[in-house]
Amino acid sequence: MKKEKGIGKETLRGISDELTEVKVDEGEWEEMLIRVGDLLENIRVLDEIDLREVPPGFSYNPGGGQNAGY
Amino acid sequence: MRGIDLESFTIQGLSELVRKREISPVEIIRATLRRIEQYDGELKAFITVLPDEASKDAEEAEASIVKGGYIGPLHGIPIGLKDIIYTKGIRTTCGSKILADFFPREDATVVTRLQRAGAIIVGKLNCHEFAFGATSVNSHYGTPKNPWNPRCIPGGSSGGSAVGVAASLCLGALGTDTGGSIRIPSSLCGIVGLKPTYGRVSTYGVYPLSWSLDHVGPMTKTVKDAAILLQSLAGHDLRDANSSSHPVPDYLSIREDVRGLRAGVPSDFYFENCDPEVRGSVMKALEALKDAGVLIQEVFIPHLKHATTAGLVILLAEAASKHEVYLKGSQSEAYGKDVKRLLKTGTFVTATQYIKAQRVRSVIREEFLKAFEVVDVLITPGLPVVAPEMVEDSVTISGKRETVRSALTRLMRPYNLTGIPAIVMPCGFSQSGLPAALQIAGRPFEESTILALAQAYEKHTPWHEKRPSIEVPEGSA
Repeated sequence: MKKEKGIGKETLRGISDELTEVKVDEGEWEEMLIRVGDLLENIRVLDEIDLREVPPGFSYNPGGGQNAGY
Repeated sequence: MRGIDLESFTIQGLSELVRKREISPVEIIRATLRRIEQYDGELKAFITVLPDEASKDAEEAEASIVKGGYIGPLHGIPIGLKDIIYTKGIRTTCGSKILADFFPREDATVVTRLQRAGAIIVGKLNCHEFAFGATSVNSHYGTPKNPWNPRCIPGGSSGGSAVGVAASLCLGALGTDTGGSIRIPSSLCGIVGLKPTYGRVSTYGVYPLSWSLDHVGPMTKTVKDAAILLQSLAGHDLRDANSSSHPVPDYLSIREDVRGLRAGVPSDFYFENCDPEVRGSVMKALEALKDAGVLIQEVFIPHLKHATTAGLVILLAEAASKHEVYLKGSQSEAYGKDVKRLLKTGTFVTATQYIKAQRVRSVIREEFLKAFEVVDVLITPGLPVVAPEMVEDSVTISGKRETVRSALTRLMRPYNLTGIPAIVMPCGFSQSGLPAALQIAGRPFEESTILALAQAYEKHTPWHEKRPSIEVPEGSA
């Protein structure tokens, strides 16, 4: 199984076929593997940040711009 | 009948003549439609022009003004709307083939507010498909051309809005900004683009790209014009769950004296990999502001470098969720290749990754707010480059190669992630004649402060007075 930066085609195909049901065409796989591989690599770098005490960026403040927290 | 030279006018200048009844809205709209006819075949700023509706609205505005019913600086002024903003009964394509025949049943809140202020909607402006791209390259409706050089991209996703304003096909426009989509094309086309605080302007009736990152804002020739548009747009909207009830100040009374304002420069992130010509223009702008009495100091935002990834993860996941129904169906074939692949990439973002990105967002937002305890504004380059040519998919900055998408978005995304207001404006021109941009960001809901600083800079510089010379090939007008 060919792997690009930690993600294999079969893994992604399994997700698209069985979980998201969004079909990836044969011609799209190469680019998709690179894109998702790059993204995974970048997301891993986020682990540098200590998030133990940090909730997500929602404040649930109706009428107060809930998503950005103002 | 005397002709109106729209190039020489701003909203502020023209509205003064309308108020004094020296120019009528009918004359203005005629001149606008003539200019669109003359140049838009080449520039492709508009997807839909509204000659009949605009002419009718102009007649009504004129009749009202003659009777003493002048209502303010947007009365009778031609404004364009990015074509992802819903207009009742008027085609709203979102730059996509999928919505080629979409006629909304109601207006977006921002449209209602503009019309209430007397603005005349002259058309729907071209954009990157579903606002999901930084170039405005559009395989369905043609790619708008940068008026400063037609071989160059105008930037995106609100590319048509920037081209329309820069080429004086309308005097102001609305754009949307999820990862820089107001500020990127404004920077590349040499105009002013304001992304307000998240929740300041309603997004009701605007086709979502990423609910928690989307903003709507003005694109204009000058800072004052941006303030005029913001005044009409800002305010709570019950129909938008993310709309803020924070009071709306008087944006038109812009503070003139900026002496003593404290400006922070986060140089480690924003000036890295920045084209030397752009950097030079921004450094000169900083000097000019210093001369105006602004106190400039370096600031450090520890996790700023992670804003790009956190923002991208949130954007990809939310956009994929919004488009899921199309992606699963036969309509998926109707997307442009670039947008389809971005959307499909988003379907592979997991829930924990999305939430991690939201948590990183909290950290970065807190760090920005901490920086704003010691400074009033942040000043940075708008973009690290001037407009790339359409054929380029990468740029080289100081010997380092980077995709166009990355170069255009990396200095923009932090302000979508944190929701803080930011304005871009021209701060010089490259040797090749393309505009460079300055970006000023401020505390949440302190648009007045960034407008004040932007106007102080504008007053002492000539950049906003420059107009592109638009070449129309013979026979195409």
